[in-house]
Amino acid sequence: MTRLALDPPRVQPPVPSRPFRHIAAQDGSTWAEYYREPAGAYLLRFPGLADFRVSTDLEQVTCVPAPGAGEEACRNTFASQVLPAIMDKRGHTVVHASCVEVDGAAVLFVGDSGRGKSTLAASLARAGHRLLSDDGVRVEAADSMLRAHPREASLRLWPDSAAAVLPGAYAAAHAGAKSRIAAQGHIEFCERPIAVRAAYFLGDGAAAVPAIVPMTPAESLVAWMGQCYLLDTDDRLALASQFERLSGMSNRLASHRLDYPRRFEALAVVRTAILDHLGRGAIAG
Amino acid sequence: MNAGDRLVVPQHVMARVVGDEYVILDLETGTYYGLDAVGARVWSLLAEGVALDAICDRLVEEYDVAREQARSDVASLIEALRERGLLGLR
Repeated sequence: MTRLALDPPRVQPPVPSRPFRHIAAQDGSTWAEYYREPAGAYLLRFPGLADFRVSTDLEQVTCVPAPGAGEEACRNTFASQVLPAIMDKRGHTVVHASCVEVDGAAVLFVGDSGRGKSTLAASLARAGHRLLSDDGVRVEAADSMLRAHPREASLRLWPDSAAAVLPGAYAAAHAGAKSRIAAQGHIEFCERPIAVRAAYFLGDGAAAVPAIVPMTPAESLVAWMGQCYLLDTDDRLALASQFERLSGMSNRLASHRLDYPRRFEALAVVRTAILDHLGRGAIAG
Repeated sequence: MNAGDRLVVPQHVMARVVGDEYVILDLETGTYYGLDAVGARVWSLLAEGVALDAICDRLVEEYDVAREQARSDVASLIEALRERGLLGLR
């Protein structure tokens, strides 16, 4: 298991090498830069937030916060970005998805940030379907099935989503940026791994009414490749291993495209469409 | 390409069957390619080292297609794959 050590804050020094990966924020600014360090170590820099140094054996991550960055923000970034990439390099599959339990099986909602994964999962959780994760799900092949692993029992929502979906919990949380909400007492969490039944890839919200369209296994494989974490994009062994695991997953798991209007008042209709779809037995395996 | 040439899948190319299609990954560029069911059949025969003529025979048998058509389809697929570095000559 990878350990996180937090060092005292320090100004982020210039890095002598060039990053091999650059991730832009939605406004075009630099959100993250990944660098190779000597002897197979990595430096993952989040400007203004923290530097994460990943040891060669992947066992230790040292976080140096930038001055003024909060410890919680550093821990969140470690859990949501750094750790999933390390898990992938260790041969585990972590997908960019939220996950709830429906009739004893896991249902994944997959998509880029801002597609509404957390809001949809929170809405289903509020309706009595236990939450496994609001973002980032480890999926593991076990015999002939796939199992989803729960993440920590918490939920991250933007304030408008939180106010709409979990009004009680939101009142107790602080407003501002997307923040973790103490959802205990408002929703229930599933805290053990369970079999995965279906995956829904979230569309861009252009649909006027909820629409669910099946994907071929080949389509879903390419879609999964875009929704996984990869520490080093030039690491061919890691890429090959990820491709192998995801092709197995695509053959086993029924995947669909799901699109719906992104209005909070439409969530009840979306939930019904999903539960009907799952209940119709349209989904094999 | 000559009749006697043997095609090989280079080491940096990975192909996996998903459903009835193939998805091919070029590990050097991180680019994916999809092959439909017929393309997938040709790919699997190529990967087994089956000769071009024999591949056309199989397509004629399995897909009710004229031999000339099969030959031209296989030739264009091979050309497209070779252009992208997904197939090489042994």
